Amino acid sequence: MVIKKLLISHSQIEVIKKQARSSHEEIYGWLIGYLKNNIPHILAISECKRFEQQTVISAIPHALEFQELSSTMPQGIGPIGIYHSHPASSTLFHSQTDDNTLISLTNQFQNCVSIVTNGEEINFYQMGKERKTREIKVEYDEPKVPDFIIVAIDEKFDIHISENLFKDSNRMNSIKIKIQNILIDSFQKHWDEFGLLKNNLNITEKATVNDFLTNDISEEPIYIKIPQLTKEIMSNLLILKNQDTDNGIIEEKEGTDLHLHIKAKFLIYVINLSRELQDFKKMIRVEFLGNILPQKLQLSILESQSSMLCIPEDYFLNYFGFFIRLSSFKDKKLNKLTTSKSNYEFLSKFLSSFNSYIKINISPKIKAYLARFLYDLEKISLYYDWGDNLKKRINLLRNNLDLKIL
Amino acid sequence: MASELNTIYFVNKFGTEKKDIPFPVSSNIKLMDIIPEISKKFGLIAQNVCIANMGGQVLTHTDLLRPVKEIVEKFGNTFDIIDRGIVG
Repeated sequence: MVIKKLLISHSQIEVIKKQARSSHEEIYGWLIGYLKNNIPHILAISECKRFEQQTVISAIPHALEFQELSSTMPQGIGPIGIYHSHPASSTLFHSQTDDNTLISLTNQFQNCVSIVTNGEEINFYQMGKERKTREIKVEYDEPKVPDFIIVAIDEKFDIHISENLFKDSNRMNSIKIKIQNILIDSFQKHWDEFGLLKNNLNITEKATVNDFLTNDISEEPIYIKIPQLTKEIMSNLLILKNQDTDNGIIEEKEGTDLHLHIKAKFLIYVINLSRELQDFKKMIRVEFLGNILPQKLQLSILESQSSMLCIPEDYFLNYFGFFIRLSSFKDKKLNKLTTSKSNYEFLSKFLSSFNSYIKINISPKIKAYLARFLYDLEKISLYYDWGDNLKKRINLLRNNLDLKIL
Repeated sequence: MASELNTIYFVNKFGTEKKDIPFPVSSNIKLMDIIPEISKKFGLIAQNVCIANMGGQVLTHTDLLRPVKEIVEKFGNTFDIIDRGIVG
């Protein structure tokens, strides 16, 4: 065995084993954490509930299951490994199929970990030199949660839409996609021109990230600021017309101005404290343009009467000590139109997974994390028609896990 | 006549850091034709790759055979590239 450490709470290991014992088919899940001093620190596990295929000898998770999970994760903390079971096996091994997947995942994240269990025993693997799987040593300890920086954007745009296109209700989704495509291209193109501000003061190039770290989600964020001239250039591109019926340039009086208020807040967890804040600009760009903005625009609602394109806000849930982000409106009616079904399914999945923590010896720290998550879940469920239903399930889980109400 | 270029943004969310690759591509090329190259750039095995837009729609085999221009108009220009993570 290669002596290479991995940090994970013993409680989480017991939960993985319990999940394996409760299924005749292979179970699957993701290990969520970060890397420090080349040591994977596993903060949480996330059980897969939706499969493309799940048998006694194979498991293929549904692609959306991974997409939903990874999209809520902050930069700096994410899926850094997988776990699965071999239910019919008395001895543990890493199969050829498992090796191939570990090779692929290791190409994406160098220190990827693969856990295999039969419900009783558990082994830990990483990809070694010459693409050979090696078993690794594990230290059962609850890793610390790193601090983070908070980043936000608050910018307003007007999108000029030809009357022909705006009146065509069948084109609403097409309008949203067109806006997304123009905005993403435009933000990507001008990204290097944007500045960073805190308390209305420009942040200098040499500022170290350490000066902006926090563990308080309510602290004033660092704002992404678009210079005025750049904003004018970007705004001039926001003109949409119906390619089938509109010819040439749309006169200003011929169209409608759709108002879009882009507000977003997100977190970047920081492991290396000596880095300059500017080093994180790429991470900020990928999080905002590769995750948050397109997702918000896809979930947006076009309100014709007020000429507004409403986008959901960001809500944070404390998940095993770090924050995951969920897009949601404050208005039940708006949520009913877009986010309700997907958020219900996503949040229900957590409740269902937490059943695996019942009747096992979990640490006080993990217990406190579960209590906090349920508290946050209860708060966000107030914005949904299914809130009462979820609250009943939360209370039942609190009783079964003997958790305090915060 | 040369066809216009579309830039598609592929995002990989496995690991501690989300990573993206902007991929300028001719608008009449099929998305399927660029999957091997984009998979290679992220280190994924092409057969294990799944493409989904940010609205949670997984692109089907039929979608992948459509030209990039149509795909971008229907699904947007930003996609998650997902490793199916098959285990046995």
